[in-house]
Amino acid sequence: MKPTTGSTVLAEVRGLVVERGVGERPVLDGVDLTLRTGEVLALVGRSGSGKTTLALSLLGRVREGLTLRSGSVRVAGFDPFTPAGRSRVRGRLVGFLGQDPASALNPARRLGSTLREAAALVVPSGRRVPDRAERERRIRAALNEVELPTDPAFLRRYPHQVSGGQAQRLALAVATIGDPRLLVLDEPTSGLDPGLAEDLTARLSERHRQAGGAMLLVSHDRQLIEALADRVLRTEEGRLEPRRRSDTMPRPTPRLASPPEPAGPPLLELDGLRATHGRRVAVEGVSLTVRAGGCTALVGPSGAGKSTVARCLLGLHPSWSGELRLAGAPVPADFRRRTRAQRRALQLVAQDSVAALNPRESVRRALLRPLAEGGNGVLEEEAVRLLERVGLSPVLLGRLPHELSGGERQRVSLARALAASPRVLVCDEVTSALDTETRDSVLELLTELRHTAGLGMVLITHDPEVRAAADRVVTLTEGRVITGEQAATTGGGPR
Amino acid sequence: MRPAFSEGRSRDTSGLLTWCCAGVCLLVLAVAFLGPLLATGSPTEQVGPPFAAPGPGHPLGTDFLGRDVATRLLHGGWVVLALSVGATALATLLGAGAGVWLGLTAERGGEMVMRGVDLLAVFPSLLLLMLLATGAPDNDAAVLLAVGLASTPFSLRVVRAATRQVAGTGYVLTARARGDSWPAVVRYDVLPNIAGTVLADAGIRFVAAVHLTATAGFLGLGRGAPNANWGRMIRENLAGTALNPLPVLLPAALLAAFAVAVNLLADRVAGRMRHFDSARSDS
Amino acid sequence: MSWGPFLLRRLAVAVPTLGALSALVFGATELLPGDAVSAIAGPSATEAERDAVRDRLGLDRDPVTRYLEWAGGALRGDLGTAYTGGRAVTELIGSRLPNSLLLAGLALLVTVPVSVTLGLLAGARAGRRSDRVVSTGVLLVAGLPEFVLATVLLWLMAAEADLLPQVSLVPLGGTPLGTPEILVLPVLTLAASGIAVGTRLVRSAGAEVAASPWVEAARLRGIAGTRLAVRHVLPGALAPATQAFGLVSGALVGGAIVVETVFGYPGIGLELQQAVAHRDVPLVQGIALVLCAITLATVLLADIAARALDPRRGSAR
Repeated sequence: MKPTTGSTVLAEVRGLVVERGVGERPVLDGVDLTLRTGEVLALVGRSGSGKTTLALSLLGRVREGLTLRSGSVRVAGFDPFTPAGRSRVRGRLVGFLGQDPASALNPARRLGSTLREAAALVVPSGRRVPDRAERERRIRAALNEVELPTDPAFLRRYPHQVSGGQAQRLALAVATIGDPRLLVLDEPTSGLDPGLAEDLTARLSERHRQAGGAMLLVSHDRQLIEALADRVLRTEEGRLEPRRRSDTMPRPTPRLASPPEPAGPPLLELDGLRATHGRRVAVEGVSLTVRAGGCTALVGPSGAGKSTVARCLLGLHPSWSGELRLAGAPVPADFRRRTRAQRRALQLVAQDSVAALNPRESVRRALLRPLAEGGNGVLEEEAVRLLERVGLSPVLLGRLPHELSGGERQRVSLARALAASPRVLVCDEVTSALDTETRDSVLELLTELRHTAGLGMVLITHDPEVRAAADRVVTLTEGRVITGEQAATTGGGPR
Repeated sequence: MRPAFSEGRSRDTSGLLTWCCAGVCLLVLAVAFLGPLLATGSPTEQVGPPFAAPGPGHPLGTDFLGRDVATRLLHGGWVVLALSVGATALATLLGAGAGVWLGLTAERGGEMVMRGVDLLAVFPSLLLLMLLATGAPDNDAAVLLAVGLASTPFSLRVVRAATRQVAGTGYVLTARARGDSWPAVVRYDVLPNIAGTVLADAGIRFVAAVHLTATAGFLGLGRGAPNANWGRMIRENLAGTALNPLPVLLPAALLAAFAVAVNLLADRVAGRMRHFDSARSDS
Repeated sequence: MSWGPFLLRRLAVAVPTLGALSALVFGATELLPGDAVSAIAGPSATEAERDAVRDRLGLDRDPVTRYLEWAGGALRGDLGTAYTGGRAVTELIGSRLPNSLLLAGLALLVTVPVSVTLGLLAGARAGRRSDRVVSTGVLLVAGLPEFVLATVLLWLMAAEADLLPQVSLVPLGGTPLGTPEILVLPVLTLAASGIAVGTRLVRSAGAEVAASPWVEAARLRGIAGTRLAVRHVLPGALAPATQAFGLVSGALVGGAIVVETVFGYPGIGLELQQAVAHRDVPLVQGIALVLCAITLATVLLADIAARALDPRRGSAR
């Protein structure tokens, strides 16, 4: 890590308390923070722990639904919570870049008008309004810095008429056009595909090296933090603490060793899948195999058609062709034509632990419904046994989903799938809403179930660490397989 | 999802407004439905000269045929409100039934049906009312049917959208793939999660139904003279406002107060109900 | 997608829709149990007299044939003859329609700027004080049935204050523009309900844009107030609001019928109301068909305007 470059205090937060409503736990509970000139501070922590709220307070912004109770914020001596201070701070002393930077561009305005407006807001050397030539110079400089064309034809375009990378760089140019002394970055790389994230990381560190402004970085991205941060702090229940190892996630290829594939005949085989949405071909030429106790990962960027494949496997997609065999016997494409045994043999554990459970259904009923369909004897006992099997206490039976934590919900969802006594589980992004620790424990549970119950598993994911748990990998891009089935032990194909 | 409400001072004043609206609604409902029981005279009997000012025997004056305004006021409300309630119930039942069905069944067939529904929604509702009234004159059932049918497409669209949202969730997919029967999916998964939306929508439909039913009375559609009807009273007595404005102003005030109060109330309820539907999946 | 295929596609939906609506118009008046014969022949007519009327009007033939004849006539610009007065329906419509279009046009001239201003004021600052004031005010006006609003305005301005004419009489052969004072109350009433609808549409479109990441980014760049509303929220809100406005145009047609009836304004809505009162089936059918066509045209125009206002056109859909 680099040494702190400046020693004067740029921004100072004292005793900041921000609340959501009376009686609820404060979002920020008396936070103190000092940021020095030129320093890069990273904030990490679970979602909802107040890191974005803290970052935005430097811009004098409290989001709707939140209230500033007490405490003070000063940026270069100005209080951003007063109108006068705010107009000095926003866009001038402090720049801001949020999640998915390109979304900061108004889709209904031309690139040039956004840039000109941003340039006009900047006050150079004490003058109230910069003259036209000065404005043009700043625009050109900002565009040159991010390597974008400066010709009028380019500036007349709308954001949807340039590439994602160009839009992102333009957003960076807009945020930094006034050479702000502090740049607030709120999860700038989360949700970006790896190329864009790498480009942004490189540009931000380059900018920091050249211009040397301070940065406040809110992120989970380990690479970004390592490239930029001098200091890392963690928010926990509205307070600041030293960081922990598990707070950040690496972006690159998996490092866990994959388990060897179990022997035995294939349990589930899918051959030459082709699925359409109306006239558009959504997925084409996907084949995969799962053995009992084995795990096949289906990976690829979002929008590649992974969830469509899951829906096809379960017979929920209205129009697809291809061959599906369960233990050698063919399974019809449409779930309505499948036998009850076939339906129960393939179970879905759905994406997003919140929508995966009926918000108005107790854990008990969620488990009893599939159990009752199966005609088991003492249902309540069976439900308790299932909860224990996924590592949950029977106390939870009476709870509604919103009374459970994210990890608990995912386990209930798993228990509900197991209630149908399946042979293959199709897990669709089951860990994407979970933090690192919870994710790892859910993955462990999945592995254990495979080994003890001989379950086959199709694991749909975009997370390289989740993929590492699989013994076979199929990579999808834009509905097509770019790397066919391969044993994951080779280290994974191209991203 | 973004928070739908920002907490704060606004709650107190808006709470007061909500209670006032509820009070006004109850008052008008009481006049309309208890009125016929309370009125002593006959609403069709001539008790004085036309457009007489208030006096003994006719405390609010007389109308254009010399009938007692007070008695006619007490008799003229229930038909407007009862037809509105009936039409709302019709629209909500048809809309919710068809909306849930279309929201759950095949995407492509559903799209075709929705084209037709959009077509009906474009059709001006007052025009439908006038057409049916031409086909079946002097008939309150035609008014109820027209008002109900005019509201159904909007109800259907809202319920279908809510159902589709629920139908795409992991828990419905899981239940369908597992082979749960349709009635079970509708009962356990769909209905509990769209109930708030359906109720909120019924409130909005009721506002439209009150408007349309009162307008029908004003235009002389539905069961005709000499029956009392707040909407028609306004029209009948428009010519005599210089002599006695009460037979115009009083029914107008009752209708206006009720319509405005219901509208404000429905808006509040709609906000709460949508909040209620999304709150659980939001937390 | 360029303009050509877009227009073709919209027309391909609009034309069959108009056909279906014509069947609905014809069916609603003809197939229901109720019958124009007793209205024309009178309640005391003998069965022979009623038969004669039925025969004269051709009502004894099968309804599908009569619909096809009527629709075929409509395509050639012939909507039949009114029962009362014996004039051609198209001629009656032709003499009244310009007055209605004038009324609607003037109301729109008031509605659009006021709705956009109020809607933006509320939507760009959703949840704040100005939003609550505007939204509650709009709800109050939207709660009033048009005829109540019209009646009260009439009573206040004409009967009590004697400022404006109570009935919109137009001299024979003249236009309402010759006596502009008769237009004031009808235009005001129609605009009031239009503003109530329009403001809500602009507000909800504006509130959605105001919560977008790009408006948040602009806010954090120090852009605020009118500039934020007009330069950042409005461009994105205009297209969806325009499109939604087209979809509620049916409600405005209803408003025009009521307003014309209250003020006795000689437009197509008053004509329709009188035709319904006289059970003049061909006239009701003819006017209803024209109103359907106007509503559809409004939806289509709003769609086209929304597309023209949306810089993203061509990329999506």
